[in-house]
Amino acid sequence: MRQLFNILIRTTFLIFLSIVFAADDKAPSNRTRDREVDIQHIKIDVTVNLETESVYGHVTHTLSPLHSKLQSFALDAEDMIIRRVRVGNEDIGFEHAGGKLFITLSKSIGWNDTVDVKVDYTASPLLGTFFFKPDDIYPDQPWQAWTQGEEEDNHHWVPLYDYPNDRSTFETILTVDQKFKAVSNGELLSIKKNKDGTHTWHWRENYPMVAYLISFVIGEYEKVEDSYNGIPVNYWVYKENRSETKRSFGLTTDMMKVFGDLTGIEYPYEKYDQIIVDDFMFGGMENITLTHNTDRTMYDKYAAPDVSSEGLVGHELAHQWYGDMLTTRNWENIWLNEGFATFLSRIYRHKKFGHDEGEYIRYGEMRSYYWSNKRWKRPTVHDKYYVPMDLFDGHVYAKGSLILTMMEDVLGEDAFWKAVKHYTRVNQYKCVETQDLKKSIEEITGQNLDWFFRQWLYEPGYPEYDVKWTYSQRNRSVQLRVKQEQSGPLFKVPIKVAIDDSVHTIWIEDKELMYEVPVVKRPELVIFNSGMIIPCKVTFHKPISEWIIQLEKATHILDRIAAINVLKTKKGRRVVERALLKAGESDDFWGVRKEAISGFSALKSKKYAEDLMELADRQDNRVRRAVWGALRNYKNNQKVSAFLQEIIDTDDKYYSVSDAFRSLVVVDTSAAKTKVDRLLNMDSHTDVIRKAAISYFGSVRNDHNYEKLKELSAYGGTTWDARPETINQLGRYTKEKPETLDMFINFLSDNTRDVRRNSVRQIGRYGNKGHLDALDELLAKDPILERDIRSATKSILNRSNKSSKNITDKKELDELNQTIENIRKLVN
Amino acid sequence: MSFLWSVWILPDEKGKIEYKRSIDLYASLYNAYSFDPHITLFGRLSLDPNLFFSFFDQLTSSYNRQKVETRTIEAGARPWKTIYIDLVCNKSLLEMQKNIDEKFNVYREYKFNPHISLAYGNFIPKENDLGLISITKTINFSSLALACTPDLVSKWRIIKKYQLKK
Repeated sequence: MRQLFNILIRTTFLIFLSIVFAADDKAPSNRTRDREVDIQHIKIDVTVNLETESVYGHVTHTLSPLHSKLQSFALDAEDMIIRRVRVGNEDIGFEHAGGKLFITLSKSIGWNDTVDVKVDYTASPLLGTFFFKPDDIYPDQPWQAWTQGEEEDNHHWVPLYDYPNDRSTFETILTVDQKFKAVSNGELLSIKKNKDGTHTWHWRENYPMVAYLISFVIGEYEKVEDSYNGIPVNYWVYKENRSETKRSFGLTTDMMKVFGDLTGIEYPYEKYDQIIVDDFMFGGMENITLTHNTDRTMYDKYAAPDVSSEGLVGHELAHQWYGDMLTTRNWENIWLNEGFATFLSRIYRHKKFGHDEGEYIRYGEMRSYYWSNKRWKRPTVHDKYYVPMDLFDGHVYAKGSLILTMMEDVLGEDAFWKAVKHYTRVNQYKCVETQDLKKSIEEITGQNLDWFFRQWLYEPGYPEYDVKWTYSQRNRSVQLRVKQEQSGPLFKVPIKVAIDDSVHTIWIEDKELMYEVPVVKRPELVIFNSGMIIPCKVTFHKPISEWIIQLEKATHILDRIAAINVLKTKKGRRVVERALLKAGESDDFWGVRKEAISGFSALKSKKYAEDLMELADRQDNRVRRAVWGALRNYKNNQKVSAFLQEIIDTDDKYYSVSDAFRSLVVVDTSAAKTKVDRLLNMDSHTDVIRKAAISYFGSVRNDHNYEKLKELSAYGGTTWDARPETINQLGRYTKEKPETLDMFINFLSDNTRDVRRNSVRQIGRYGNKGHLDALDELLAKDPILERDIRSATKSILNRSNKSSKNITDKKELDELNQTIENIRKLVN
Repeated sequence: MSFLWSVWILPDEKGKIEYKRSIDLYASLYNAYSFDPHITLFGRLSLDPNLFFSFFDQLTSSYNRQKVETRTIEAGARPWKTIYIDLVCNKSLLEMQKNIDEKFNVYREYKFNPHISLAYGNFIPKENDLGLISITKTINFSSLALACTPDLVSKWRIIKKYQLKK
């Protein structure tokens, strides 16, 4: 599910759902749910009213008991009124309480019985389905209703068993106003025109799926048609995005072929649709045969290459195999969905765009995992969480993908893919756990990977190495001394060590290891963990000169980046500054150039402004933006100011203008002031330029800018997409203008969810216990913000506990001082 | 030698003075950047231009000066067509562009869009300002030029000029 649009969405990366409002180790254990019945088919027949934001009609479950004598069972059902429950034509008893619909059959049924249970209901969903419509202030907002089932939210619009350990086929029959398209899963059986001005769209999914993959989208769309092997492949976009369809989705069919080859199973379903939706909280959601994508994934040529959709499109498509065809049977194993999808998406881009691109994406995964590990160190397979969403972080997306790369490294490419194909084939249309993968690997390769699964999946963290190398002239050898220094168990890993042009694989499993390699002469390059296959922390004791040689000569891009990561900490050395600038200008790969410029920026050098500006010409835009970022170090430099102004005035790339302006605000505030009004009126992808302009009023804090922010934050004050940014910027005034907090409280009832969400975050940052009631109230009205509210509440309580602790400390200190004073008096 | 360069055709002296004045006017009005008036026949090549001097020698020796009809002053896509003169392309100019395109489309794709830019930049021009200047019915173009066109407009410069036949 849900690649978060980077923001991440800025580097595709990017892009895992890592905005983690971390759960913690106190979270409860969660076990896989017990089932009472086996549901074979679900027929949903509803009217979706976008005006009243309601779903009403009936659902019929065809089911058999998993008992010899079953008389009652429960479905999940929230945010709805149950009107009637029937078996055949007979009304039967039911009770609806605590989010459950308890159904009592008139007589008990056994293993071999099958019954159709029909439930009539009217739902006003707060979760599971989201409604959008235009108003007088934002008349261009689209009419839309769309579902988001994962993890367990579909039961807010239809009564069903909402846990991923039961699979059934299903139908969705959707009656909607005739001006809308109603798109759902599987094959479209019919569209019926009704006399009352509505249309009924009848869809059927013939492959058994878990409940969270049921979905629909209703709205005004244009369908762009494509196909793969005779299977319809459609892109549902807004009229104004039609020309961008190929740019965003054009590689879909090529990906289908590649994924079919890799997994050994051709794309198996009736069709594949991708549809864009407004205000989506994630990047995408892999509903069966119908991926919902954020409409931010549409972009024009001025947003490229800073924005690209291949990562997202590949990720969600890969889920049709891993996530949909094979589905985790509980949330603790969610990495089987997300890790595989992240991995396959990367493998596709590796094949399509080349080795360096693929490896740079893997580097992004490394960073995402390290970040998540810092926030909440935990095993990848983990059953402790408050809500399943807590688990959707870098441990399952990024580390999941990295684990598969390490597995491939251990098994060898051929054996790995053979095992993956076997795992996929034997578990097709089944719910799986990590043990199923381990078993498949053992069946194909004969290898018991207990040790591998234990350390990478069931234990937290990664190894930390302290490394030294020496050259023995007498023995003509390189001696490598490696220590494992992490707390906790030792890791067993095959580490690659590059010595000049040769690469050696060393198995490290002891606390300390000495390794000797014969060489003909003293090597120039010794690289530990070459290619960065293993996520780990390495302290390699090498002189700066060797790191510079590594930056200049290492063949693997990640070895060059590893050198940058060391060199960027060596401030005040001209030789380092020059080396990073040189790499920033002329390394073969744009990603290394970008990292080198960022590394140079971290040195905070006051020299080389001219060189930086010069080297930006003709660079990949992502490198140029790193240069704009680095230019922030040259505050009050008029040449830099003029340069940035020209970029802002004439550059045609949105993200370039946006970043150049953010730097100009730092370098030359008064010049930025002359540009800000123009930028406030400039449209761009995801309003990135307007948001940068808004940030000016938070960066340059004065009464006038505060008033301007208040004006922009009012409903209609700026565009729908940019307005949430005004909340973030207002937050920067909270200390000097505490009344801003009252504004945030008012914004909790705003029409825009992102305004509400950002207000919650600001309250979490600056609020006090007195604001908790308002947060609770919002939670009841808009439960999708649950994790933001939980995080804000936690921050407020932590702060409050700390300040009462400070008060206690002060009291103790006063008492101690008094005691000392008394003693002093006595002594005197 | 390798940098980004473009193939332009340049107005004759009379046109150059007239339209440079218009460009400077908009530059002062919108705090934009000044440049030489031109039509871009092929944009932003990253090749050594020395290698193509003889090609352009030959090409320009077989083409006459171009008389191009103007339509209107328009505001268009920012930043490269913020204010521009829309042109009616004549057959001979199209043919010349096609020859250049055939030579260079293996290196990059370029969509020819005949116009003379009067202002580059990320701003929205006021509608009234489009009427501040008048345009002649036709503009005469007397030379072809290779221009160094890096990212910054302020650094654009002509590196080689070829006269078209009279």
